[in-house]
Amino acid sequence: MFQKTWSGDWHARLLERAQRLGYDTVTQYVADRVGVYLVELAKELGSDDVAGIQVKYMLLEEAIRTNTVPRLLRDLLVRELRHGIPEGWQYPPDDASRSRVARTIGRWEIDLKDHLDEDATLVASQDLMEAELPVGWLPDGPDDPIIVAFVDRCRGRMPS
Amino acid sequence: MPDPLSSPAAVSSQGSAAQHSVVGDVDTQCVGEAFAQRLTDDELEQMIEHLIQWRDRLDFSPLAREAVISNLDVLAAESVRRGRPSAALDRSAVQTLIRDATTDAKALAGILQQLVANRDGLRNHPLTERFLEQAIDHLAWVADATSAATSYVDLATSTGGQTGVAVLSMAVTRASAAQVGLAILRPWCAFLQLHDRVAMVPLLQLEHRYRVLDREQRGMQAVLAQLAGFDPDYVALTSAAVPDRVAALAAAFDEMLAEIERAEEIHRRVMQLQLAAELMTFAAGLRGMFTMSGPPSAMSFPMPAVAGMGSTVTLSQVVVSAEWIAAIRHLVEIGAISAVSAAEALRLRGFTSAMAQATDLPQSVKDLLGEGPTTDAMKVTNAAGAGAARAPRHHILPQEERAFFEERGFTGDLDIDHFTVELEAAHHQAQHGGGNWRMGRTWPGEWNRLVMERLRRDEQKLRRRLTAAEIMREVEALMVLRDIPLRFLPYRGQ
Repeated sequence: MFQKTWSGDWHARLLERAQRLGYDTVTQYVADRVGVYLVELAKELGSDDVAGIQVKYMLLEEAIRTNTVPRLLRDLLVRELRHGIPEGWQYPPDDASRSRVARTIGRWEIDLKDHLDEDATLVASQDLMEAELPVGWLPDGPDDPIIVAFVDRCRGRMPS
Repeated sequence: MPDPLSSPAAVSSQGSAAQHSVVGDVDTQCVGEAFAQRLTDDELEQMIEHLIQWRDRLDFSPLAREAVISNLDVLAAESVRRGRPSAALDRSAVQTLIRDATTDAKALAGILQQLVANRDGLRNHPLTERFLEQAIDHLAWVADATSAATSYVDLATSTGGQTGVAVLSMAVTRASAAQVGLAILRPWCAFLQLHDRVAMVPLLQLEHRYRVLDREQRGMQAVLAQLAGFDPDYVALTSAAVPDRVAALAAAFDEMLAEIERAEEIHRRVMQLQLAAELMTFAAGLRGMFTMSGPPSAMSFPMPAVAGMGSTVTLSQVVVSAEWIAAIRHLVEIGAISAVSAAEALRLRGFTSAMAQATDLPQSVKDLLGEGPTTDAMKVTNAAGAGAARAPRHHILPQEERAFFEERGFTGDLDIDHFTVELEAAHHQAQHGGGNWRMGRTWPGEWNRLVMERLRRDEQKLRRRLTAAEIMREVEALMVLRDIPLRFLPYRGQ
């Protein structure tokens, strides 16, 4: 519920829910839920008073405190891709599949701009849209090499 | 060569002689749940689409149609069991409502054409002619509403997902508004028909006839005016008030007949006796248009008439189709229509709670039908209170960027004014800066920036414009992540 979700101290609410489930932080909670989409995580933490974007904000705040932003970027991208292209990778790409990939990355980067290089992300995204990956491919987690390489490029770091 | 039984898509698209028997099986004999369970998700959807096409064919015998409909039920149940909504069923349910409104509107258009063709009736004086012109305008409004509904079904088809359902519910609102409008326009047309004949006989004064028409037209137009905003809650409220309006028109109709009889008494020896007698016979036939009628698609599936709706409007016979009930049930299940609106749509057809108990309508709808006019139920259901002061509505697609959206197909029925959401001014919690999405005063600015940034960035990557459907999908993603309700309402100013 919109009003309930955005009333009160929702930061405290999220943390309290994660702790009630036996975790110290929201980051720890979602680490056990690799690839699950933000909206699902929000429902798990509060069926009618937590929004997906709040989970994303919380994770980002915790990652900044613990200097683990790069890993979070990868973790969130995995969730977006599994949600945005549930049928898996398509190759060769067509207009529809390119659009799906572009929009999925768009959903990912929108709240993470401060931690990404805008131009590098654009070029990396356009390359990924054309990438010849195995048909049906989806990342299993933040350590997937394709995800690692892509996020490195988006952060303005050339692959080593 | 795949097993034809498990490959209905190939069967229906090829339709070769060797496979024809299988088509025959699905279309004329009942398939079981086991059959449905063996289909893949895609095959199930294709089979549903195929059966919908067959169901809507006019050259089918009622018996064959019944088989198709019961098979559709089996497949629909299977798609529910899998938790995989069928876009074809969603569309078909709305199209059933649109088709009914269109058929009804055509019948009324025929009546109005007859009146236009008669230069000696209402058209024999500018004062009465204008009522005919206005009735034509009102019917054009109904046609526009159904055509908007069709536009929304098209957009919902290309969008899919939760937004697809939200856009379908906009289509349902238009189709329902058209139906409610027709429910009052139907007796109004009968009233005009009577006046058309009366105008041909020098029995009643022009001024008197004008005053009566003007008075009754106001009541009828009040109903239509309430529908024009296409607000789903108002449509349901207005619908609940229609039986009383129809009853008022029926009373005016009867009063006019009584006046004619009195005038005829006086003029009997000297005036056009023959014409007056014909008029009374004609009027008796028109009286039937004041009963609430079932949907046109119902013809092949009559249900036993139930007498005594408990309303002032007499109910001669009610026919409701299995298909129509299935459509309403489906729309409630996917959330494209509220239980209140569904109950109201059924009530408008003269559907009673006794009849509802014999169907598989959702319990929430049955309960509402048992309670008489749904006005009270609405107050409970809609905590904000329809008609009362309500939360402000916000454009989901920024108004400041109207041109951007027009260039991408958001014109006419898809005008951005049709896509607003109602949000309470939320209590903004102030702590923590940076990246926190705020409510209240900062809502429009922050939301608009967010939406435009997302859409422009996507276009930059794609090196082309986004389509309307793509835009709706992305806006849906932004809304869902922020817990903004996916319920689109028309803008009504602040």
